[in-house]
Amino acid sequence: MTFDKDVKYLESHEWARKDGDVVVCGISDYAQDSLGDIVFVELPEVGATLKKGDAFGVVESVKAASDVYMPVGGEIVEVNSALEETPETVNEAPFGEGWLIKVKPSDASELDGLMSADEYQKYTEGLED
Amino acid sequence: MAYVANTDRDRRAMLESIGVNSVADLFKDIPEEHRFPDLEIPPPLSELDVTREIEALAERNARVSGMSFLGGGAWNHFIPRAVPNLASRAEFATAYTPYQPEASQGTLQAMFEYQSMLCELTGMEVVNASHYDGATSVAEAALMAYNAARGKRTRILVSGGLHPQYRRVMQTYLQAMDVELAALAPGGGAGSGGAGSGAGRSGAAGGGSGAAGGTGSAGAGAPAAAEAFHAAGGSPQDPVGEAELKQLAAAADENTACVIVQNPDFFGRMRNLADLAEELHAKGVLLVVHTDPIYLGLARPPGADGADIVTGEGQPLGIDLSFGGPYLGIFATTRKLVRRMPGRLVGQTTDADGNRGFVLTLNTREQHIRREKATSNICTNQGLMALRAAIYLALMGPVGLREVASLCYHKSHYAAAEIDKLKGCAVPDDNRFFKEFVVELPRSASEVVSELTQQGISPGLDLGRYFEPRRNQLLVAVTEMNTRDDIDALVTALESVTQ
Repeated sequence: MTFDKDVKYLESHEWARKDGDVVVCGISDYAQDSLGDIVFVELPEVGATLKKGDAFGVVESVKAASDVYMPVGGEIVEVNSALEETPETVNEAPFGEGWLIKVKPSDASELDGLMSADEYQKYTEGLED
Repeated sequence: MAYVANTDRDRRAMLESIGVNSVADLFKDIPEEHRFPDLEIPPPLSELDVTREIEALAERNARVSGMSFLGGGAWNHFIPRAVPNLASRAEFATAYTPYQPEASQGTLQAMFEYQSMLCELTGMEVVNASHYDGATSVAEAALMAYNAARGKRTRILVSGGLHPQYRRVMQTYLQAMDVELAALAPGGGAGSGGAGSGAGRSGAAGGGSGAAGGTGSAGAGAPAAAEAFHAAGGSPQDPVGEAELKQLAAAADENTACVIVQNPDFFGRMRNLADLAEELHAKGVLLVVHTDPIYLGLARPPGADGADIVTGEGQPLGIDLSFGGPYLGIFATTRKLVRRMPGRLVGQTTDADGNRGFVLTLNTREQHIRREKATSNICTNQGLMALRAAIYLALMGPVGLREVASLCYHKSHYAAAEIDKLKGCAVPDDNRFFKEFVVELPRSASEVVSELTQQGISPGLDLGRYFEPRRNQLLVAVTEMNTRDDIDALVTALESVTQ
């Protein structure tokens, strides 16, 4: 199980990484592992503006279909459309090629409240109990 | 666990242990006038007596014979004996979705074959394992088109040729949603019919859509005018005719999720949909085509015309008329839209040993996993009806279905030509109808229907029931069940009440 140190985490298992003036978002290694084989990813339209906590898409695996939530409010500037054809990339590289969306945040300070890798790892260990 | 009723002794023992004299005493606190009344049911009968009683009741039923020319959404077609015989085998004796696929391979295989045959027939890539009937399939198609546009397009544009009852069912389905059910107003602009509850909202939206219609005629965009026009089934001169398809294409705008067209339409007319899909797709609008599966035995499939969703009433495929149900809702779409599709889908797979097997697929979309976001509120399906349709189609094959369709076409055209010869009776000039056609009578259709019913003939559907201005019009359906003698008898009878 990987807990990438360069990103911040939500309790709903998304991660967010600041990259210049955009924020890249995906789901954690823990999340992809719990979901199992991912078969479909539904992503928002570029240009849509969503608030922190809004559902921006759906990650569907052989076991479940789960909403994914905005770690930070803002405008969707790019979506990983390669996932339409190869959703399994989310399983293979959740922090890399398997990213979901890029957001231009309306208030980057919203990232401050998110968990660090260590905090998130402890949080997931708590879920195992 | 076996169900064993309480005996009188059990009940006495229970009453004694709680210290009550009788069951009635338990309800003493309820005022007597509110207690369940004595039912005065007649005493029990022997099995023989019951059989006699039921047979006497059954004798009083009117029988559908070759002298019935009723259609309008339910048609009298031949049902080979093998259909009920095979479908009533005990192995198939539930309509419910099998959630344990490994134990239900036979049922799942039958559903898979139903889906596969309907894919061929409609020319579509995916068919689900059914809805309740044609009306609910159309309503689900409207919901799906709305969801496919992620709720950003809130208008559903409906052809005047759609069955008026289907329109009502759609209103019911859509009434709690922020969706506007729109129709063409006189002259071609889109006015709003409203989805029932949203009168205020529809009014405002209707005003905007008049401009979108583009033909700029009087009354375009006025909801009341559109509603009245629609309620009339179009004007008597131009009963939402050929020009309508162009008007629909023009009226579809960036707020329109889909256009719904019935082919053959409620009045039996065949419509040329060849260019419609392209025009709609250019504006990001989906095309929904509601059709008659028998028609597809002869016609170009709607998939070939670029339809995004195809719905149909499956009753003609081996399902009894039986007072309007249970019927079968056919629902087909494209691979691209499959994840928006409601209902059950059976897939073929291979097991660990490489053997062919069947499973319910795309289950994660469904309500037992994702209730609040489920694609449909349909929690069971019409499995037995879909099974009958599968057996019917397998028995008929492409050649048999084509023969049924040809018989319907030629017999209905013979009937129309003969009726047209009667003084005062007229049928459509263009002759572009499939198995149903409108007859303009010199007097009230409801009177003609009631007089001929006395003679044992059901001459057709009185269109005044749905469209007041059409009170002198009869919708006549002719299928393979009506012989030439039956048709000639209808013509003679019509002559006797119209001359």
